[in-house]
Amino acid sequence: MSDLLTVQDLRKVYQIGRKGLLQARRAVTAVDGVSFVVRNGETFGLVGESGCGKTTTARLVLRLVEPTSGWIGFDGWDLLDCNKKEMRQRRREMQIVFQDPMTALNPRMSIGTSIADTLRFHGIGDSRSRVEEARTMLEVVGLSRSHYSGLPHEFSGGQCQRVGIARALILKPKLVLLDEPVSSLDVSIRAQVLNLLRTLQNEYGLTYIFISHDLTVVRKFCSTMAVLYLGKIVEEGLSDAVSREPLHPYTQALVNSVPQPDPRAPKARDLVGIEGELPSALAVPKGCRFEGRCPHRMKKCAEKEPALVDLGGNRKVACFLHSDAEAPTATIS
Amino acid sequence: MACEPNVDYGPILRVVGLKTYFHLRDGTLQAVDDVSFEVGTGKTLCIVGESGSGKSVTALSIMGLIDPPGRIEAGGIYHHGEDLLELQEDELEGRIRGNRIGMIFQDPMSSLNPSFTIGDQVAEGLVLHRGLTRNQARQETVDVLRLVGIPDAEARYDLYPHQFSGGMRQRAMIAAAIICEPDLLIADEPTTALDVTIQAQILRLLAELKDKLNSSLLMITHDLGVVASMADDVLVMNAGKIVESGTVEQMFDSPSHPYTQGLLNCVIDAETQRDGSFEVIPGVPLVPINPGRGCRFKDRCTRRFARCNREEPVLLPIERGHYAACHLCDSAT
Ligand SMILES: Nc1ncnc2c1ncn2[C@@H]1O[C@H](COP(=O)(O)OP(=O)(O)OP(=O)(O)O)[C@@H](O)[C@H]1O
Ligand SMILES: Nc1ncnc2c1ncn2[C@@H]1O[C@H](COP(=O)(O)OP(=O)(O)OP(=O)(O)O)[C@@H](O)[C@H]1O
Ligand SMILES: [Mg+2]
Ligand SMILES: [Mg+2]
Repeated sequence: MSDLLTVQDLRKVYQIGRKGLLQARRAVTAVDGVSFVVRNGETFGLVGESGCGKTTTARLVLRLVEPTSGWIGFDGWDLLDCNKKEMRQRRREMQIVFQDPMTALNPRMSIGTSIADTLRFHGIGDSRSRVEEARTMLEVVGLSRSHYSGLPHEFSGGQCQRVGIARALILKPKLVLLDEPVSSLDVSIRAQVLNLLRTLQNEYGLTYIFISHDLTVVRKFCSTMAVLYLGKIVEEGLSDAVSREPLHPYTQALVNSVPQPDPRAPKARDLVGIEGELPSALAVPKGCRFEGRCPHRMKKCAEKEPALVDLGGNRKVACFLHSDAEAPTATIS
Repeated sequence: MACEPNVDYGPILRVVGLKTYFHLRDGTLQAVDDVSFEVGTGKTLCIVGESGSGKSVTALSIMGLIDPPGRIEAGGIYHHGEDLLELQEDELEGRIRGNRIGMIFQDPMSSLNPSFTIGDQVAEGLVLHRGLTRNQARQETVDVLRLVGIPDAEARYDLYPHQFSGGMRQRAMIAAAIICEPDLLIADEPTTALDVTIQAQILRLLAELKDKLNSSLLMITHDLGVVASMADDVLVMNAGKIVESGTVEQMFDSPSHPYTQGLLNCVIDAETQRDGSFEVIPGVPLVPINPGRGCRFKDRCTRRFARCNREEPVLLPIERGHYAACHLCDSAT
């Protein structure tokens, strides 16, 4: 498979307001040197807990926010080098489905108009053909043509998510970024939307980046996955292998924290979780970011940061238990 | 901590024929319709079901927190044999709510007041029910904050909700709910908004507290993993009705209602082939406004037959302690 998207050392620093006149402005590094490759036709999973930088990564890839540094290659283009016009063209080929299906839609605009507007924005077709195409798209995602004039509040969460998918797919993109597309949906509806996404992927030859905090879904839906922790990838590999045999202590904690739908599996009081919480992005620990919560921490973990090392077999891990390599120190903060 | 001796070991809570309806413009929404169940002393009962099935309304009805256009139309809610529906609001407020029955609400952010310190809000129960001043309540409150795993509790007493992380806020909510050592704790999706590693911590905390306080737990969730890891007994709700009830083993080993079977099938089985499709329940949940005749699950059921359109099934025993409301399970058919 050829590479469709290459992300190298992507970094995004947000400056946030000062607390007092004398205090310096503070910086949040939302994404801190992330690199990965997405191949044509695959589904690449991005997993991690709230605030680890999943959405920011997606927005950076689309250049909806400008990276502080890094390089993005998409389908033969140096994305950060594209001018406005070129970027507009690229955006037709890379679309996003947003995290919250309800708020992603304009409450006063009919869902059909929302879908057709994507075409208008890109100057495709005339108003007649756009309406027709939007209606067809509604059918493709399992709604009906007559839903065109409905308003968002008349639709369920699952239906709104289908509208979001229709809106992303009407441009026939190559890459679709799915930001928690099923997290707000009930289990039975979630399965319907996942099946739809898979069918459409096969039909249109789509490449997906699938963002989720649900490891169980990622394991089944994605071919490859990367685990993010505080803006950094800590582990990467084939999703089945990573879930079956996680190497990074954080990935292990994620896997072990999920209660199993089996009354004979460990009960809540025996779940082998981890202590503590995600450190604030404002005060990233000096050594390994996971050190404070890690059950296997060693002395050097507090001082040095492990590099993401290729272990072969498509697996990469950033942990001193698996390699002594240290991460290069970041230049900006 | 002391607890009142339980003379009989019957159910701590018995709900009988509860009907809570909302009188809306479009008609009457039968949010909870003829629901009966028991929470055994020292047991954990989980109510599971999809969005809108009536889980929260059931909990709010028990707490006496249904406001117009909602109304409890019929039924009895017996706490230690005393019918809470017969009590006046000031009695409920003064004696039961927050004292004998503690509740953790679905949305931790909206149930904490942003303009009061965490400590003062957690101490509320002691002030209200034991007539302590805030100063007198302080030490006990700090102890409870420590009990729920808030580090540095003494200092954090004076912080405001926005200065707490999501996980810490949820711990504070739990502290507020248990401060009067209730014998029944109602937790409405206490972990839905949390990351999985934090969820594991909170579930463990709830299980431990239940034992420590010698109380019973009524827990609402839509996550079957949470059910399997917490519940002794399970209720499955659909469109305002209980469709199945039994022990956690009965529910997972021999689900009898097609809806329960469907839910269990939807739970992603990690061991199955990655490219296999996801099991679904077709259609969307029924909203029980003027629901009409017959079974409320019939439109989504692949096994419906003539009787399902005519006649509403009632909960009938299939084995000891295991009930289902489905004509397929009715041996008289
Ligand atoms: N515009 C912004 N200004 C300042 N900080 C930001 C901004 N956007 C995101 N952040 C911070 O960057 C970090 C990563 O946020 P991001 O939204 O990418 O996380 P996420 O992984 O998508 O989380 P979630 O699972 O909650 O959606 C967080 O600490 C967040 O507070
Ligand atoms: N205050 C209200 N006014 C009108 N309808 C209401 C009100 N509260 C609840 N309902 C309706 O009652 C039904 C049951 O709602 P409930 O909140 O109990 O669902 P739930 O099972 O808790 O769902 P979720 O998993 O989304 O929390 C829904 O159809 C809901 O729209
Ligand atoms: Mg996000
Ligand atoms: Mg609810």
